[in-house]
Amino acid sequence: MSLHVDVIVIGAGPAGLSAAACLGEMGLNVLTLDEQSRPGGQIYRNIEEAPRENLHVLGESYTKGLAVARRFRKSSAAYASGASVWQVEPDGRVCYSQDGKSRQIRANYIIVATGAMERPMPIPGWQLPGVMGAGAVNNLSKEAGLIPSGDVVLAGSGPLLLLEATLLIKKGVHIAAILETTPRIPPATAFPHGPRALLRPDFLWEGVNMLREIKAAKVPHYQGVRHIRALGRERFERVEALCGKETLNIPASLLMVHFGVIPSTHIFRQTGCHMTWKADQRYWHPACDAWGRTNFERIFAAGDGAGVSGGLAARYKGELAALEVARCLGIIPAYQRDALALPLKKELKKDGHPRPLVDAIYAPRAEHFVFEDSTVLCRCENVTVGAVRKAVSEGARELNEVKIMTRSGMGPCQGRMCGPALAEVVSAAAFLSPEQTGLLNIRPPLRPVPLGEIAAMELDEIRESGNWLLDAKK
Amino acid sequence: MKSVDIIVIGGGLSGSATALGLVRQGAGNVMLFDQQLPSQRLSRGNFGLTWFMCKGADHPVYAQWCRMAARQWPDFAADLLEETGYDVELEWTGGAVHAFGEDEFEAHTRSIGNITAVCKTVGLDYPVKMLNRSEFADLVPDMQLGEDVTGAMYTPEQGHVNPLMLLTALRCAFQKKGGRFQGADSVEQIIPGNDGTVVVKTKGDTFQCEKLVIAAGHGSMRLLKSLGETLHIYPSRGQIMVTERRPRSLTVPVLCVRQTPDGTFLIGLSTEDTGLDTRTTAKAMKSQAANAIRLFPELAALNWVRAWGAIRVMTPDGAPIYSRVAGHDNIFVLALHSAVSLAPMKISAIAPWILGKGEPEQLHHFTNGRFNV
Amino acid sequence: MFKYAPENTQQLVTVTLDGEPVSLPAGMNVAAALLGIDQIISRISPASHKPCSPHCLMGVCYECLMEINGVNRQACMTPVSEGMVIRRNLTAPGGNLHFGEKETATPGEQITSQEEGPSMDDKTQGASA
Repeated sequence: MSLHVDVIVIGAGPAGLSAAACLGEMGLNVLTLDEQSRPGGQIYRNIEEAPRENLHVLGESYTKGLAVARRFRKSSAAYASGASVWQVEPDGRVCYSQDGKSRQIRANYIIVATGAMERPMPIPGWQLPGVMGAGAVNNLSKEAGLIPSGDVVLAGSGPLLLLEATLLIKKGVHIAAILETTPRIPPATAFPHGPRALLRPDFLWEGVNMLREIKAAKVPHYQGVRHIRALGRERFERVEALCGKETLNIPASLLMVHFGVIPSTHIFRQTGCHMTWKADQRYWHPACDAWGRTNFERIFAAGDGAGVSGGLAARYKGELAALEVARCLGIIPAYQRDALALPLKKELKKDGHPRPLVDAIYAPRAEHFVFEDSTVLCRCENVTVGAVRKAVSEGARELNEVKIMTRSGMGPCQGRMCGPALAEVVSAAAFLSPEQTGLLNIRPPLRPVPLGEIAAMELDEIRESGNWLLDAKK
Repeated sequence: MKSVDIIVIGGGLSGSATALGLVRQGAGNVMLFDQQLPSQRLSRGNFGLTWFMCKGADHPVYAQWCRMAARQWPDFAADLLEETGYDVELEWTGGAVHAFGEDEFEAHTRSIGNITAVCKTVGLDYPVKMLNRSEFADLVPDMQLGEDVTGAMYTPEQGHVNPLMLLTALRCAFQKKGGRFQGADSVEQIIPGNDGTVVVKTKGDTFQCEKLVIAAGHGSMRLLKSLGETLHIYPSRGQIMVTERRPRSLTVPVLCVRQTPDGTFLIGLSTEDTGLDTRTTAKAMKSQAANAIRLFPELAALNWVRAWGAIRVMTPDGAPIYSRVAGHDNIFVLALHSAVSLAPMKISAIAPWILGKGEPEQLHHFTNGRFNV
Repeated sequence: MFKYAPENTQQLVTVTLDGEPVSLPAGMNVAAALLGIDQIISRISPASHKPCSPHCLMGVCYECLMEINGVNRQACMTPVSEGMVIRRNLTAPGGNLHFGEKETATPGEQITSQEEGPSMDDKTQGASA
């Protein structure tokens, strides 16, 4: 394998596949590093081998992925599956582990398309076996054909929560209740975005249909729910919550939680990219220009990792980044890049019409983040909200100080699951903004690697000199 | 303008330990400023050894100072536990430096002889001996030794500690004794007055104090320049790797590999000239991993989970700087790279010295001015 | 907790789970495959000493860590293959990676579990020197 490629694309979801396909079609030497074993990322998980039943139930938003995957396979982009990236450097060097071997490869440009994750929201009992992310259950269905066997409760907020509900209904899963924290009446801030959203009647119609399906299935649907707690001895047995004046107490075998989607930012932070706090959606994302370029000339962000906007938008953003990279590498001139970009930007705009409305309806508010002292905040190291607050009372004013005092963020997940809640709890306790309390420092390796594998790593330096006429091409 | 007795700038290991020493000595109103930038701070990046072995090879007073510190560690840790409830996880299990091959074995043996002689000049013993391979194996019965290992130099009179817990405990104890800890506040200006007081301007406020202690690591240079003093420190990067947890099998800390009570292995420890760049390199990770595996082959299957670089505050002779700023008898500067090992001395010697309660004889070897040739 | 949808077809291979042979679908990720045979516990947390179970199934939460062919890996990111050796260390005293003569609590960190099972927080102060 060549040690130096034109472009490395990290991630094989809609953004990564589109970017790699576009660059491959232009004849560039592209390598896609996918930590999953098959292309598709999360939204198109297992798309190439999906049973027909799944294609039918999951609908067009899933089946669109087939065309994306096919285009990728047809292009000359190389695909490395099961390749876990563990270090990225601004000068284009990437270290990754595949099949028990770690390698370092250099690229002229890197497009990071590692997507998004469900917002981890600590609630009492969230570490109990039997509490899973809604996305996890979705993945099990797509990849393994597994569906919940008993009663399910869905809890949280966001459009995907309701979408998940309809998919489960179609699969014959019994939903004991949907506990939505979003209030029934949208906030006043949402209404100005209504007119723009009307430009996409298909989207709004889909939303109305979802609610109709849920009602037709007679699924108890609560809104404005507070104080959700998962209870059980050895595993999850029932969920308790407040709705208005009523205390809900619902037994089930599985609690699916979903509190919206936030960008996965670890690669950007490890590399040192400048990060921006998006206050209305309360998440961090890399600071990028219109093409997805970060503050580092060679590093681009594409897809939900740059900012959450959905699967279709991810495809366009991936391709836009690819076009700009192609221009930088001198393959197409700027005017051609712009011409090719124009229809993509138009589609992107159209796709984005409902987003301000959706974002406003489901906007997380700091007041909604009510955490009890005894709730576990860092799952890996078993650190409670109370311990974090104690660290702030002893003088910690930013997340890394809290980390060294409590071990929060020092476990295997390196702060992926506790980072967002840490930002909320520490900033609230210290009377500072999340921008002031900052982000956990992310260090390599991005994924654990056995010491033996590191010790055996080949770190060939690129040969700079030599007589190219006489040297045989390796 | 707020009036306090003493201000300490820098809430790392040096500053926090000194501040604690001051309040324990009844120094009145003591304030500790800590900027808490998200950058890598040396106090967060320490390996955690509380050692005297191998220190002061050509500096007998430094060797003596390190030995004094080591002796005070057990009581120092016990006091912190009692005051704060924080256990700094001190394990007084000795320490070893391994040898690969015959040449290294002989070099270590010579080093023991050399430092023993150096220590003798100040009336100090040096309880370090060479262990052959089988003696070393007996010392670490639950670990397999790599085939190249010929032995190790060893002393039972030192140990290792959790440096992050130490920092947390120091700050907590300081505040419990009435000290005021001010995080996220940056010192912008230091203005010595004619009346023997010093004015300190921060981002948010202005303070006046009788004595000022500057212990801000690499941030100290900026503060001292304005007082006309050049601090003789230079940066030296050390990279450390941490592994996942494994059932406890190593209790004796080896120079470059130690296992913590909660089961993670720490592997280090490079010495590089990279300015203030705290990034880690694949090259260093590879060579450190290879070295650890050469020593204990079973570590090969263990996952490496995190690495960091920390920038040592190095002095030209490796020994600390405890100094008054020239022309300002009430302004002190502390700069050193082994603030973990030497932490007890801040309490027992440095704080009383700052308060004018006596000057240990060793201190005049540790001035900043000793580097002015 | 989970069952296979009726249209599901699988090719099974034999792996060793905690010393016992089991049949799992080839190519499926190990975490999903184990959930499919009702093995919902992935490990015992070394921090809380309580059982863990896969939470995100996309490589973010690390709850599904287990020893696979000698190395600790995320089961949700590892495809099942013939002859694979999986060890979860669920029955070691105190569970996986539980050890250490002393477990000390940071004051304020007392975890009062919400009916989360018998408290396994057995905090003993060991000697400090």
